[in-house]
Amino acid sequence: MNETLVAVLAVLVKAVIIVGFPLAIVPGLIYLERKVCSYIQGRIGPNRVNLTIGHIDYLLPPSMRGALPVGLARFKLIPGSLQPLADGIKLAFKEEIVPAQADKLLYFMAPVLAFVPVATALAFIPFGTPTWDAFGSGHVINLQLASANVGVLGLFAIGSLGVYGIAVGGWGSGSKFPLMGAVRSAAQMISYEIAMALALLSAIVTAGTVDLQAFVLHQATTWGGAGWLMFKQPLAALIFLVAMFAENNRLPFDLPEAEPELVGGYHTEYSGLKFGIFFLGEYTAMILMSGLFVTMFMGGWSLPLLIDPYATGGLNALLSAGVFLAKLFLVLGFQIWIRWTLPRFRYDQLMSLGWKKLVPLALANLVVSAIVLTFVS
Amino acid sequence: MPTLLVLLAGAVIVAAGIVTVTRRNPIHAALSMLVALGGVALLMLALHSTFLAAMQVLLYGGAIMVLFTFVIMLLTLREDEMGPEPPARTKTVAGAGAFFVLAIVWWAIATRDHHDFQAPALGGAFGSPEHFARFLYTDYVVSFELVTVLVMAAVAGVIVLGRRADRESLEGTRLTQAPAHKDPHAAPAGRDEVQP
Amino acid sequence: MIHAAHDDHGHGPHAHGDPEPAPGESIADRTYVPAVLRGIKLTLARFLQKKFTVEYPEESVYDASYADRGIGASNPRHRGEHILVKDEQGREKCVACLLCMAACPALCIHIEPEPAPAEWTDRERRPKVFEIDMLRCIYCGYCEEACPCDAIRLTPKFYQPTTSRTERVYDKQRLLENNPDAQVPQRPRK
Repeated sequence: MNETLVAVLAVLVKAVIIVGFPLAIVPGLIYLERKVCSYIQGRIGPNRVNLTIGHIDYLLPPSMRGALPVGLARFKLIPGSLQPLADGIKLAFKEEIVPAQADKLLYFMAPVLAFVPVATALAFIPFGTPTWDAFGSGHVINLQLASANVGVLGLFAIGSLGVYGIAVGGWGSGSKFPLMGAVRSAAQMISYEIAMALALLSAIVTAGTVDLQAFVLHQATTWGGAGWLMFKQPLAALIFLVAMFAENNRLPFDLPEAEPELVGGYHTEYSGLKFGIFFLGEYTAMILMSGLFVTMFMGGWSLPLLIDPYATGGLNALLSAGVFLAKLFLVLGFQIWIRWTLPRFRYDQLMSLGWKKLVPLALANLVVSAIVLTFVS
Repeated sequence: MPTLLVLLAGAVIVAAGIVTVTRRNPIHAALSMLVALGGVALLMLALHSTFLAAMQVLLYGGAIMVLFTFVIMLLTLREDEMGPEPPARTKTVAGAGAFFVLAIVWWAIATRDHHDFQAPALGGAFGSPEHFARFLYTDYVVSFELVTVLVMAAVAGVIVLGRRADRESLEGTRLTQAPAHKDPHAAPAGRDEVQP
Repeated sequence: MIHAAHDDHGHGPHAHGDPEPAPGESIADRTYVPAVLRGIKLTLARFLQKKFTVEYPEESVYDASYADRGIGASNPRHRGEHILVKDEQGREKCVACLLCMAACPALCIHIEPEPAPAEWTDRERRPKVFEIDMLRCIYCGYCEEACPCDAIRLTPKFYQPTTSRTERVYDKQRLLENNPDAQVPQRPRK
């Protein structure tokens, strides 16, 4: 096979993986969210819609049905694991209601605007080693879809367009609560984007690159493989983590959809699959931000002693992807955990935390790291 | 391939620009402007300036246009608040003026002897953040610093204007102070409407 | 100064000369970090503890075996399903006087009397049909109060779900045999 064909094929396969990834992971995330929520609240959570091989004891003659142990006869893979599917079917069969006051074009466009930029930005995240020798054929494949030299800036640029989905949805609904949610969301996301970008700048200054793959390599090759930026830049990591919650509109910063005040926030007027796509976009944004955090502060796909960042073997590449996935779910789980722990901030608290605490802290951190790096190295 | 991209970006920019100036609905206009800015980013991408393209989307798309839509949403203009539709004659004159400017630019470009223009050979790192930064902080450092001074002055000016507006001109319009300026012997407000 | 002292009083015992600031006022508290950590610890403990969920209908709150979860063992005064009480000879105590039927505000009791057999010397009538529609019943206990023979009683039995409405209409035989202790799951637990 010639080089171009392999390159095109590799890009196609990686694109399918990147696009399919959120669609495959989001149901699991929803399940995780519901289970963690109920466990924290002392409940069991969904356990009725199961992936099961059926009541196999009914195949036996009636007299022998009792002979099988119940655990085998009523085998369930993970209790409630098909609940997201049931949720999806419910959403798909719900009546689509378009408010009479709605701006039809914007109303229909908003869910797409909320999902597409976020899913596109996933392309920048490296999910494995950069030097995989594809099945020993001599073609080296970088396990990252868009290896642009702007790296994190490109991801940030495209990902920041996700706010339009919320803003346009709130405006296009032609109703006051969605509008308030959209206004809040725009204000909140702009405010926290600044703190987040400043925290990222500290990380960029430390690693000396904006290329995300180079970021991982930097972390994998310094401090004996444990040069993760969350150890080198703990304050930046903390600020990024806090801003991440605000960017994803998740508790404790879920003011754009604060139920007690805004009914449902920007998606109050949405039902059926359009609401479902908003939901999908929200969880994809969660994956994107967690992926960015993993890549920039937790060493990405690298793990000392287990993964050699420059090896070309297939097993090494597979392991690196597995490590990335494990770290990703660690951060996602942490986000879910926090959501069911902390109450919502008041709006003025949110703004004062963002502008009066996080932004100056991140700025100070940036200046100090720049000075230290200049004079130390 | 790059030429095709340039043409595509140009078409997107022109189409979105026309939509921007012809829409009455401010949100529609703002979103078309966003598309036009995205087209500019595409143009930069076609010219191998990836860093500039990313910055274009990040700053204009992710920040400035969000602020625009934010302000528009805060104002929530209704149809009758947008002012009267301009008469057809004004539109015709405006269209002709725009076409005239376009024709002059076109003429200037077309009559220029373009054979003496040689596109410089681009290195592999062209358009990367490092490449961009090297230019910014060596050849163009003076203009860059001057721009930062300008931005700083703008920020300071905004703060001064904002504070003054809060302290002085809005002082007398507070609802709690309004009754003090009124004639105490005047009839209570709203009484005329109540009585037939 | 009196006012100042009064205001200070509102800040709790630490206000007078004690350098320790009020809750939420220390620098550590204002970064939210200790509070968040406390919250995380709390929810982690909740995550790991035993769950309170009763998986009705496989389990029931009246199942005494779940007493360790703080549930089970119903209140003996709870008004649940009815029983018809039997006398020493195993006959129903009911004499079909229809007082319960008259007292019932929900009109859920239906009784058709018939003459008692000749050998039953203590009464003249007995119910031929005695039906209670458990879906109509509001479990007020008026029938129990109205009964002169102590023949109908409400038990703490929490009713079990059925798949049809007709199953919720209990006839005489079922009321006579209704076992208040049979709060068992209908289906095996998973």
